[in-house]
Amino acid sequence: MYVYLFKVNCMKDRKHICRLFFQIVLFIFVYLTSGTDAFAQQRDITGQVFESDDMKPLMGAIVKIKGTTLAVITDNDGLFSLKTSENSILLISFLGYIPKEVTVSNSSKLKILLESDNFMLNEMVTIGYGTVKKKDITGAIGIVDTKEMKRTANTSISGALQGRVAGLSVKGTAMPGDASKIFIRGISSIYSNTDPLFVIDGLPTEDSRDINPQDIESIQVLKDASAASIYGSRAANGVIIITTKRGDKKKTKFEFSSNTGYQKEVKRYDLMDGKEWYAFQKTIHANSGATMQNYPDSTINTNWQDLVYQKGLVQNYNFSASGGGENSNFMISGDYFGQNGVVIGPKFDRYSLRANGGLKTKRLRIEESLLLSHTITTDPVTSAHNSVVRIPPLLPELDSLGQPTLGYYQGIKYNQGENPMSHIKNESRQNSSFHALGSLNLEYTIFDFLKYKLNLGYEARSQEYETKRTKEIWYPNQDPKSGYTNERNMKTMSLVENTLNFDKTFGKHSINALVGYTEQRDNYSYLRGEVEGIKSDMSGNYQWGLGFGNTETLVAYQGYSPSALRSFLGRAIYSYDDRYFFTGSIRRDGSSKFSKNNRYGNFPSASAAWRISNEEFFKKYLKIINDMKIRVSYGKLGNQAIGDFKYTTYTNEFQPYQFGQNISWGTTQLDIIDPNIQWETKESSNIGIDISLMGNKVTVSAEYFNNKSDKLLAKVRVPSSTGSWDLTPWINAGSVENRGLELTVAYKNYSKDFKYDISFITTFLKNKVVSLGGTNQYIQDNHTRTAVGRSLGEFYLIKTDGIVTANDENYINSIKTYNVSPNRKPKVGDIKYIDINGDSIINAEDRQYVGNPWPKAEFSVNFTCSFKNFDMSMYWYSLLGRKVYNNMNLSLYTPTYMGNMVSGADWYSEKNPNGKIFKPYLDESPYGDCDFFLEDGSFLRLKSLQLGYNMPESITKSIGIDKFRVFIGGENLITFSKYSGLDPDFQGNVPFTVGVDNNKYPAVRTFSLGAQFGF
Amino acid sequence: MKRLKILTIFLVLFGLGACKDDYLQIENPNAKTSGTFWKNDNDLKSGLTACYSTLYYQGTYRQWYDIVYEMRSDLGWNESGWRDYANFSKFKYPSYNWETISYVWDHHFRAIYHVNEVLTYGVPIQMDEKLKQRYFSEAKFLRALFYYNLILAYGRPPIVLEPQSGKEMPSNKEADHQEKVWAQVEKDLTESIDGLKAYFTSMNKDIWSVPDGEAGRATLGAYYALLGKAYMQQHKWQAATDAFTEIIKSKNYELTDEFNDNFRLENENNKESIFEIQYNDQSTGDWGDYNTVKSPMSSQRAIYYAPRTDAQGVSIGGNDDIKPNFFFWSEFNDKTSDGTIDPRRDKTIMWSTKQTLYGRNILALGGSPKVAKNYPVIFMIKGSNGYYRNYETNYSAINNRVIRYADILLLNAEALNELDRTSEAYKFIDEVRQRPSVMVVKLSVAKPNLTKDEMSQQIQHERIVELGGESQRWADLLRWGLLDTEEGKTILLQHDYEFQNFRPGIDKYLPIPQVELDCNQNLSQNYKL
Repeated sequence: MYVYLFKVNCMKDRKHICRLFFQIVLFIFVYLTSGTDAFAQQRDITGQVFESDDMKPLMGAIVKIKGTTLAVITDNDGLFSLKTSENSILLISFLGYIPKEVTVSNSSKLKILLESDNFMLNEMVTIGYGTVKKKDITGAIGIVDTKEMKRTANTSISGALQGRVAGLSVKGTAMPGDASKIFIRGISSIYSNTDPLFVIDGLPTEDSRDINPQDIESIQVLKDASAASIYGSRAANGVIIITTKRGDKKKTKFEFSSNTGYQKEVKRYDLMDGKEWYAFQKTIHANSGATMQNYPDSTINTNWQDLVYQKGLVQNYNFSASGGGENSNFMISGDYFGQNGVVIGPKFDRYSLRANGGLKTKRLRIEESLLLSHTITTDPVTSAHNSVVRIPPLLPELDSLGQPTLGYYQGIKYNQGENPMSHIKNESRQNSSFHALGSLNLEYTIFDFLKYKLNLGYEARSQEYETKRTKEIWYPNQDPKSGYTNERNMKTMSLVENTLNFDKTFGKHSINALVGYTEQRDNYSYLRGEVEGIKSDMSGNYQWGLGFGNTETLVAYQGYSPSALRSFLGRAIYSYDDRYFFTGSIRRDGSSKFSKNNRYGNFPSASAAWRISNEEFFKKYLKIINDMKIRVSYGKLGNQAIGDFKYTTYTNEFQPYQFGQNISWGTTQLDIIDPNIQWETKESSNIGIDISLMGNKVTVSAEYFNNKSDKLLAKVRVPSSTGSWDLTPWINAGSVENRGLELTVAYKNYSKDFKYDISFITTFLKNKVVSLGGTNQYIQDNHTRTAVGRSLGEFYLIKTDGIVTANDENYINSIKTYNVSPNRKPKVGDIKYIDINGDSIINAEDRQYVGNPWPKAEFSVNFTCSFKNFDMSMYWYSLLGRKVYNNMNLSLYTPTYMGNMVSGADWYSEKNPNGKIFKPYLDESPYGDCDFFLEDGSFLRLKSLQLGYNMPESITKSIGIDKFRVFIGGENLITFSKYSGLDPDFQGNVPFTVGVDNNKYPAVRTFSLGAQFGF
Repeated sequence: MKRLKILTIFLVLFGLGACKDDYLQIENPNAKTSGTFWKNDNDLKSGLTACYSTLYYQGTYRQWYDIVYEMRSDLGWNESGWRDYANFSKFKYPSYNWETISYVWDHHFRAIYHVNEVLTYGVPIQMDEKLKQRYFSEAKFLRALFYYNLILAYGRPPIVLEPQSGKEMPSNKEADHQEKVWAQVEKDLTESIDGLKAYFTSMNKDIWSVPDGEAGRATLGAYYALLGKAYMQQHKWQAATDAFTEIIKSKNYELTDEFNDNFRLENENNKESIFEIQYNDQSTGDWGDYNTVKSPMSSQRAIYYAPRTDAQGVSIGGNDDIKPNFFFWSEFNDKTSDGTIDPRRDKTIMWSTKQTLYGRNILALGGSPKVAKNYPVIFMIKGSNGYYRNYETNYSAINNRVIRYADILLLNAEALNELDRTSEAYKFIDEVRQRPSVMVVKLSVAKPNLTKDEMSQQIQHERIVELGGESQRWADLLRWGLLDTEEGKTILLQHDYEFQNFRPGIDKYLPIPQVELDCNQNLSQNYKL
């Protein structure tokens, strides 16, 4: 009966449900926090509240007598006075500081220090086209703790972001100049760009590699639709907003820091030496019943790894000066970063200069930021660290004339092997890039509540790619030929943004609204010249361009790619009484990349947040839960990252045929296209909760999200029978869902000399293909299949069960043919492929799903601490539950490749009947499509460890500097993993070969030493 | 108000002023759209040139033609250092997506696509109708040629006659699919013949002449020849000899005096040539350069056959992938009237230290020629550039005589023999044997009165010594049924140890690439029917 009445009540009055719910919640809190109030003699208390850092008095702090509603606010000098009883407890709080409790003692004058809170609620956070108080955030925004970032020696933004934001993962290699990839909340696009949009001082840009991380003031990662949808069609992969440092009006500061690191590869392959390799060739010839012909002298033994690896060196120097007055500020900084990698060849240098400045009058504020950077990336065309696998030890480094040997020696054919030293000696590729990124902001205050802002931006990047090849690398007279290529390209972006911002508070209502109109134009142009087949010796300083009569060919190419984006945007943020927050935004984007009918797209979003901790009923529980907020959001984002002019077909005029003596140039259409190509869209919903506990010492933040990408810009394989050159034309097909849970728990204790904080970040992410458009049920890649209802790029291979042993008679008799070797029945020592369809033939039809390359969970742990003048930081990173395909092992265990092999491998033979590796034959390779080389790719790694020492102030003051710190650091120091490859922390190409290890660049261990000082 | 004025100025200067309607309408400055092309006769001619250009693709004639249609056969062996490739000629495939298997498939269909563009987008063009039909004739010939190749290689290629959108999923599953493809080849060629005849008649020109006088264009002779060859593969002997007879009685073709004139730069497009691919080495573009100004126009045939080094170990630059085998070499057993061995042998195979190629002695073992049964270290001379230069490259300019008159004469002899007109076959065989630079004893003198079966065997021999190394062998083996049975395999295994793994009836065709099956469920694998 009671239940029945309750139901009726609920239906009558929804408010009642809410009340009921919170009565229950309240009851729990009351139960947990109930205590007794002591009533004793009243007396006058006065006190003063200070900020603990620089002992400035704090105005506006709330001083409250615990257990009562009595409270006062501190005055200009941080002073307060009130009447209370002895032994009562004062609760002092101020936003952005850790609340403190003080027991009233005999002393009538209290001195109270409030420590600033890392969880700075009053902190202004830069979001797209404006700022918002951190406490008012309604969407999922990852705020990077730049304080910690500034202390460690990061040389790139992606490095600085790694492990700092839940749901953000950074994947890259240690290759000098390699720009790491950043993924926010998984892979939402199959073929289109998966990079987030970077907005640096209001300027959208694609690349963060040229930015000096020391210049960064703040980084915000916009993860959900409500936060990111103001960037509309480019926001589907998330947005990273970077604000660079500006001068402080307080004082002029100079800072200098330097950092030098030594690098060494973490692991090498264990390869055969000449003797073992020769013996192995003998074995496989014998196994195949073949005679060995023309094998070179087995005394040759070249250790290619010794030749290819070197000690790497990383250097970073940074100098900055900043300052300002009442109405102006400036910041300039210069930076050099240089890296010479562990593999002979690749190098990277970056020089950058930043000049930020600002001026303000009563109504007008002008800010400028400018980055100039010059990067030089040097690398040989082929990666030497992979050549060591493909080249046998019996090939000498140099021939009798002292030249690097080419791909064969004394009649033996090493077709797979390229001598890496030949590349190093005869070939170079250099990319020299100049990058200018500048913005000019004018903000005009029309009324106090209405501001107009004009943002003008310009980006120019000019690059020069130069490839020199002094002679043939592989065979005489064959490709790649000697030659010289120079490509110069210029990329420009100009941006005009007009926004009007309304910001007013009426009583408890506060409204912030924004409307804007923007136009952006991009242009890309290139000019490339090639000379090839240079006939004389080209070493030395040669006038390459004049190579005419001396070369076989001289060709020049040219091309342009312009595009434009026009957008209208609007946003309203409303909050009531610091308790209820609503945000709605919309962007309408028009892009030249699509045909007239599909040109415009709308990207709306809405979100709300409720700060429960500000509710009246919550007040008494603030002791335990200092702050609590729940957020929900929903919105739509877009992805337009495909090349220009993909909506229409073009003819190609380079179809020559020689009729008689005359060459005619034919014209035809090469590719099939879909004229209706349009935006990729992403629907994103997010629920989040932020809690801070125990005097803000513990913060917990949890988010659940569900992102569904639709109308994916996909490159779905069409049959070759179409005849299209591009067999994977762009179409809008299919849909992918990413669901995940992000959890961040941080604890800090700053109360004693030993200060420390620790944070755990965990991301659980699952992607699922909802559809692939039309009738496509799957997309097949070499090792993987992406099918509806499953994750992207799951391994789809023939399952194996070790090798065939003498006990496997049934198996031997049941299999009629190994499809690769048709007349072959399995023999003892062969890989035991599972005949899943039972047709007695091992072939592609026996493939099945054998593993998922995506980790089930991603963890990172950051620990920092300081004791007196020492500090330490540590970062652990882990991926759990993923399968990876060791493609390098396929090479290293395939005799037919004629490359080098793993030393001392456990090959099966009659003498070694318990061998775990199949019996090798001269002319048979294991099926590349089987799971023999599939491994568990989980690992836990200590990514970085740093120890620092701050010189005590007493000493620094005496020598006239403000700050001096030295530190030592290490990267990739410890790894726990069962993976047999060089580096478990790799990511292949997304999405299809994400778990395929092609050894892009070996993992390196770095030891570094650095110093920072300021004056 | 002043503030509002300032705002207005800003807006006008930087904002709305830029708001033009055509801001987002950007035309591609680099190329013509397909919509603006296909407007006049020049466009159609240019589209047709693009169809010819496909003969330069890696998967058509530049690289893989000789490999697929010759090297797999019983005339050669392959111990390439590229083991997958060596295995390929032993009928072991590392994967059904392996390079050769997919390139030949993909590139032939690209070629067919370009033909289909001409035949579809050309229809509405306002131009001289007879000229248009002539262009269509050439295009249809090329489509027939590509399908002819596809049938030989894959057995049951799907039929695609129009530009595709990617959504069509053509099938090959019907039991009589191959007959349907043959019918399409015949239809294209018959229409070609009619179209070209009508054009030349309207121009009052000899119907056998080369259109536009540009060597390399498909002629009436090529149409009849390919039609005859298509009939031959289907054992339609009467229709075949009818087609060949058209060519023979036209008196438009005759054998060159010099056998070598069919494999060298000199005397290209000679009187014996019926369809010839025109190469040059002006362009050193390679496989990555298609659709650019460096688009390849050369052949890689020579480099596959060429040795890596000479006897002294000095580089020649060849790949040394494919070599003639002992069987091939030993077939040259006919004698001339003065008792010397068939002169074609030493023009086809480098086997003796007395011979030189690339200006040097190639064979390492001074003295006795090494003609070991399984691994004879002997080299192909036909098509080599070694007669005039001392190294080999990826860029051979020697034209590929895809169809030459000697082939037609021998096929005609074969058709007549199959029609039980064995005695009439002699005439055509003798014409080939009595080429002035060959002059082996007439068959009618050496082996008169052969039975039909004996003649059939004899023709097999004649084709090896005349056409060996010219990529006709696979079609011959298919036609003679040697690839279908265990008996056939036994014979081939005697010729070539590489047939050990051969599965009769299955490996006569290449597998259809696995990716193609994976994205078109209407296709079935070759061996599954």
